[in-house]
Formats: sequence, C-alpha cells, structure tokens
Amino acid sequence: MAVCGLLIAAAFALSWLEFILPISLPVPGFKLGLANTVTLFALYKLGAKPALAILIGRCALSALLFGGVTQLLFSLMGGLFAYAVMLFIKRFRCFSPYGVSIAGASAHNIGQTTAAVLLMGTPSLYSYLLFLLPAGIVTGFLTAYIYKLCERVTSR
Amino acid sequence: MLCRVRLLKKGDILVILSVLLLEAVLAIVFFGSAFQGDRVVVELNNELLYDFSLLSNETLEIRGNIGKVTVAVENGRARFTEAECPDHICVKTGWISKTGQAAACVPNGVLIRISGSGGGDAPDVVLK
Repeated sequence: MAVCGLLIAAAFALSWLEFILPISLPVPGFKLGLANTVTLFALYKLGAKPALAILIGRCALSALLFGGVTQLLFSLMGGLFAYAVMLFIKRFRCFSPYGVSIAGASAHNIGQTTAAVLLMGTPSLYSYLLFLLPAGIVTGFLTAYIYKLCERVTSR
Repeated sequence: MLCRVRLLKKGDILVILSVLLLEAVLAIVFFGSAFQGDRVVVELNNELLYDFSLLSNETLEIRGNIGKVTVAVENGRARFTEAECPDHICVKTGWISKTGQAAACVPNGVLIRISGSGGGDAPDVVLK
C-alpha cells in the first residue's frame, strides 16, 4: 500500500516535471510521457490493480493541480484505454515491455484523439494522429527503456 | 549501452508494424483526398459560428468556454493565432488549408474546419 502511495507521488512528480520543462517538439499535443514509466513498473512489478490505482491517482492529482475537468477527462480516456491495451498485450509472451509500452502510447494517443473527435463532433481531428502515432512509437520505446533501467537497478 | 543484440521480441515488431500500418491508412485518407479548400467553418461547441470563403482576410475573436481564442484567415489558409487555454495545442497546429483538415481548441470548444468541393475536379477553385 505504501509502495503505491510512493509510486503515485513519483508518477505525479514526473508529470509535474514534464509540465515545467518545455521539452517538446513543435508537434501539437506531444508529450514525453515520463510518468508512464511508473505505470509500466507497477504493471510488471506490482500487478494489475495497483497499477490501475496508481494511474487513476496520478491523473486525478495532475488534473487537480494543473488542469480542469476537461483535462481530467482526456487524461483518463487516454490513460484507461492505454491501460486496458497494455494489460491485454502483456499477457502474451511474445511481447516485451517495449511492445507493451509502444502499444500503450499508441492507445493513449488514439484514445485522446477519439475523445477530441467525440467532443468536437468531427473525424477530421484524427489527422492529429498523423504526427502523434510515430511520436508515440518513439516515446513508447523510450519509456520502456527507462523502465528497464529501473528494473535493473531495483533487482539488486 | 544495450548489451543485448535481440532487444525486441516478435510481438514488439508486430506492434510497431501495426501502428505504422494505421499511420499509412490515415495518411492515405487525409492526404489522398486533400485539395486546397474553399471555405472555412468555425464551430463553437458543435454549433456553427462562421462559414465563409477561405480566400478572405479576416481575424476572428471568439469567446470560448474558458477564454478567448483568435482565428486568422488569409489567402486560402486558416489557423489559431492566440488562445487562452492550458496547452495551446490549437495554436501549435499552425496553418491548415486542405479540405478535411481541422484544428481545435478543445478546452474552449472551438473548432475550425476546412471544407471544399475538392474531388476529381481541378484542385484550385477560384471564387468570384
């Protein structure tokens, strides 16, 4: 339980870090998704339920401090869809954390774009996926790499 | 740095290829049928606000849900120039000009969309 609380704080801190550091490409909606390293870690080391709790906890905290209800809605739509996809993919042995992470990043982008499409009432907004999807492959890979580094450190 | 030669498993490659395939499909959908647009449509919370020729030169100030947004239309293209919103994804999107393209300031509920006859006819339409 205490570990969960710690991880929520860690994930939130990473979200906050991303918020204040303007590391982003001129691609609209681009995020490094550093907080997802915590989600991956929780998913692999703690299990499905704790990972979900940490995800929701992090989204709620971030929305509370940085955004509004719309932000929370988008965070959750992207995050929960990504979570479901990652949970499903993780079951099969032929996927490593890299695949899981990239699938999660892509699902997150698709989920959020879909939320925007539904809200604004036009499928034209799916064009945002044209730059979000490739970016997602890269960030997904990066997130998994960071997770692997942490795994190596924590298994000593 | 990475001591393993085989970093990615079969499934991972599958994931990457699937995403790239989706990307290709989207590219065909959006670029394959995109021509210079005729008109720009501006909606606020799914309700039509403006619909006029893309060739006009206008600056629109719109009161959105949480703040003000400014839309510029000039010489066949349109974009958000300013917005009062947390992320400015709308402004970062830049100019849009092809039919089917759109940009939105979701927190404010403002959408700009390019429409036009496009299709098999000549892509450039001269308006009277």
